[in-house]
Amino acid sequence: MTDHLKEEELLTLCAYLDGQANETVCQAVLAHLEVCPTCRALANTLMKTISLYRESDQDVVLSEDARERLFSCLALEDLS
Amino acid sequence: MVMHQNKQENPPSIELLKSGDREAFARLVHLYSPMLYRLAYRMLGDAHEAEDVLQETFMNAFRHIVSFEGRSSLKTWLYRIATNQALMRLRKRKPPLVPVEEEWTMADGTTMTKELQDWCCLPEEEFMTREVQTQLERASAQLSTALNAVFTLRDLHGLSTRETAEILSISEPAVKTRLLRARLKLRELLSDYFSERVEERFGD
Repeated sequence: MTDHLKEEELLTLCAYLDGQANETVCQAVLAHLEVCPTCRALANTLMKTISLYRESDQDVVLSEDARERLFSCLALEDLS
Repeated sequence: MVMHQNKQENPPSIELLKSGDREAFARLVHLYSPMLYRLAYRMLGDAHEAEDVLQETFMNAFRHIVSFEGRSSLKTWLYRIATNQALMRLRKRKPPLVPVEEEWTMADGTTMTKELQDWCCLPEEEFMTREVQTQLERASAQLSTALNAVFTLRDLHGLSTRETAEILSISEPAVKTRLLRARLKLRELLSDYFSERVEERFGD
């Protein structure tokens, strides 16, 4: 594989990164990453992008007030 | 902390919910409201609207639990209701939508022909700033609704490809393709900002 990774190979790479494909299936893609700094940079920054969003999403929290309003509109305030 | 507790809790039984047991409903709300709020917030980008979606989701769920057939899990069912509520609101907004297909920048090789900056090597403190949060929000706001929904469900909520397909009524291959496109698009949008940081730190 001399060209950069294309959509099909990137889907394989994603499946591997997501733990949904084993190394054998991804052998060609992983071998390419070894020798291609551009695709390696793409894979690294792709993973970093996902982890940044995951971390940032943990900061989104339902406030106590909003939770109370929710229970109240469901007429469950006595069980909140 | 609360979320960890919730993850360990079991959902109430469908029978109890169908019988109108208020405590079972309250448990359901306790268990799923934090994650459904995060979902709605991420899809709409607005705290008030996310709260409205949350309320509508549970009111809807209470109203229709009797006809819940259990073909999907309770969790997937609630996610489906919440996602649809959020999508309905998004449709009412002015649609600046880019067709999913047009967002693909890799297929013609345009973004791959140039050398990519590997900005993941930046020191951790570079990623912890308020400015980075703004960049993350700005980038995700540029995703189409279709891509954002898949990215949120799969990458942020950890739902499986099958669950995501079920929630959005699309095929599993479509989930995989949209997820890849969403990830690539976000990566590309963030790259402009982080590549500058790399230049500042390591450039001459």
